[in-house]
Amino acid sequence: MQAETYDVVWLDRAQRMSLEDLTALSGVSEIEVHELVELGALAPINYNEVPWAFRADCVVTLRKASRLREDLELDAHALALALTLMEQIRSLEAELAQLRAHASVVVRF
Amino acid sequence: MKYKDYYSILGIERTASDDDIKKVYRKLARKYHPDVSKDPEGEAKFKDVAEAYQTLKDTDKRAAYDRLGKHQSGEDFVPSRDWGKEFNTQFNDGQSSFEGIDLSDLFASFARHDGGQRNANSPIPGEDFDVTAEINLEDAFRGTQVSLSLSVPVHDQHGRMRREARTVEVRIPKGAAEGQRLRLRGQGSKGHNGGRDGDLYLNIKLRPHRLYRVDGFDLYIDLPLAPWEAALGATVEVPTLAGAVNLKVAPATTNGQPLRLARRGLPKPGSTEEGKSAGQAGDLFAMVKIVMPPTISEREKVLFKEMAEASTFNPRSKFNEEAANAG
Repeated sequence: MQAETYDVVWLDRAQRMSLEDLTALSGVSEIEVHELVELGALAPINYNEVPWAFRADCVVTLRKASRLREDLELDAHALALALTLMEQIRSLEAELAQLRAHASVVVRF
Repeated sequence: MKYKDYYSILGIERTASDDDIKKVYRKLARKYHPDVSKDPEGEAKFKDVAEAYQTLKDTDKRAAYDRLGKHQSGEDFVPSRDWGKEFNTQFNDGQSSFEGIDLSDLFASFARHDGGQRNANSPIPGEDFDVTAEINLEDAFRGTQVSLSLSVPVHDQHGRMRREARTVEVRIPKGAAEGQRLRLRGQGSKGHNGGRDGDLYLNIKLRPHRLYRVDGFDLYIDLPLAPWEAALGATVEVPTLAGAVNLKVAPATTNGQPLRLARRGLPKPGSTEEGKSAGQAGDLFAMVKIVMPPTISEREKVLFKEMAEASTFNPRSKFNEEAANAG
């Protein structure tokens, strides 16, 4: 067993990523990315800027999409719905974390 | 190799129809899929369920699996040479052994060799890994190194896959926050026959801290003040991740008031050394919490009484307003 050391790249909203890199990293085809954008599950930084660029955290969303499509055998509409609901959950969890951080007593549910 | 009972993993009879297998799989996948499930064991359970389904959904693989016979789960067994000859071209040379191979790898290789070796030399991309790393707030603040233990598939010269333990030391730079993702290019498993190397995706989780609560890059700390400190104002020492600082509390500070210490939160990704990227960090909010001494001395009682008599302050004046309006 050998230990090796590597550096890392952040996948966050501050980083930009081309459509080409996004498809290569997520394993989701360009056509499917277009489909998910049309269905409102994914948004490029600027719709009018062609080719589209995305925020790097979209890789995480698309990798999730790819896993869900394959593992749960979802079609594009079901996938878009699942991603939209998951994003809502993520944003509610973030709001909850924010409220918990602001509250001087621990809020338990 | 260890036997896994794919039928009992899915909770079905060995005679189950293809439709039943599909239905049960979909139900269990929705329940345990790591992207959907909150069950800490979900990922491991889903892996087993997916492995069972990958084999049982395929008529040929299911037939081959059934011909392995019925064993106890976890029981060591070796497929017969005849089995290798009949079902898996990879093992029909009479020399290859099943040693060091697990059941899922056996059926994965089965898929590749099925169809007359068509894929024997075609590129096989390396696996991506998704790993969660739990780190302390102090480590997120300074940057840290974590040691990840991975089970990595490796291919031998015959294209056979085995799993090997590998330890990867990953340097997490400053800028880690809850749920932040990192990508380590090419640090998944190695591609085979010219296939691309997989990547390693790291999901950061912050361990709860005894003093600070975290919201993105902002930190929150309770700042207990004695009633007289809140009333008269005070200079108090507040711990921050970079060391204690003195904070001036204004007179007549109220309970729950947030006092902001700019850029004393977590550094954001890409922040350079201190001072060079002012603003590239969250803030620290000290939340005022006025607390009473656990016991009040006689002298304190006298002073409080004196204050009660001298003060005209009515903390419940709003109650009266509402009562007046209602009346």
